[in-house]
Amino acid sequence: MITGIELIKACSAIGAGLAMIAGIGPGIGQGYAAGKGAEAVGRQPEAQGDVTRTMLLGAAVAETTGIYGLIVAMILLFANPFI
Amino acid sequence: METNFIQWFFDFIMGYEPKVIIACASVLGAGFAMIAGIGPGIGQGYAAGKGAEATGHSPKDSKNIISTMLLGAAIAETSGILALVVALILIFGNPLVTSTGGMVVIASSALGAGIAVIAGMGPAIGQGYAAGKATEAVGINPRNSKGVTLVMLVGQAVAQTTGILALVISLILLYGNPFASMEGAFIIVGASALGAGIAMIGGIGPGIGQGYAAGKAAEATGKRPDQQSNITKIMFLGQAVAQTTGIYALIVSLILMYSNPFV
Repeated sequence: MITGIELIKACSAIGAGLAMIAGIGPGIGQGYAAGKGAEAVGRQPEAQGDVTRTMLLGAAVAETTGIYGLIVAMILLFANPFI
Repeated sequence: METNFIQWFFDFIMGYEPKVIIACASVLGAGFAMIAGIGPGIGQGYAAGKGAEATGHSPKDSKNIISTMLLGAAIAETSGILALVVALILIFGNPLVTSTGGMVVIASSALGAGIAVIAGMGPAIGQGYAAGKATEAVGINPRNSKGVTLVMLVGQAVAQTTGILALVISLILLYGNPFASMEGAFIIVGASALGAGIAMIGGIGPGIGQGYAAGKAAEATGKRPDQQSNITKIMFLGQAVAQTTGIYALIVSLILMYSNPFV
């Protein structure tokens, strides 16, 4: 017999996995930013510093939802109020 | 064979305390909700790319470019934050834990509430595209940045609609659940609660499409600032048509909730 706590832990493990699917987004978005950054530096090498700064700033914003997903996954794994 | 599995599944979960099953559904729902984060990631990344490109073209305008990029990206964040809020409600402040009503129905509602906000992926992708296009337009001609930013913001606001509708359905499932008091077989009522949430995923499409329209409108305004009002008019018209399937999803969700023909 699977106990109630075991079942909640099992579902939390699946939930943590589901939450991380969010990582698809930042990966695609930041990859696009990196590509455009590389393109811009290739065209205007003297603007490399400015381009890199803008790219990193934008990519940092794009990271947020990936971090949200990670936080929810970590809560489910390590600070789960249901267990 | 199929029926046997469903019967086995319900026999299995009926062996547990309701609060265990509701907790299980809540943590799964929280996980589903966070899938919405795909949207802001893609959209804001696109904006970042356009920002980097525009900065490369005209490094002296980088201040204008960055402020348009960040403003647009901030709007594109909305749906991600809404999904996070729903996930945290499901985990820490779940009103369904103490709700009266059948276990299967309440558990399905928790799952549905999480699944509904996945819709936020669409608006975020669309708004990010609009942010990128506006950033590009500001880079090309910083003098038009005011009009471009305005068109971007108005277009993004429309693109948010389906995300908000999904949030509303999610909150109804959490706080004003009509299924809890619904008469009928638990499997039908429970599946209806799940279906009400799943239907809202349809909002992904209008969100992406309306955001694309907003982006193209911002681009066009950058090229022809004198045509701003005409451009905005056409954008609204197209966005209204793109909204229809999102409204259909809402209608189906509301029918399942308030005039369900199966119960």
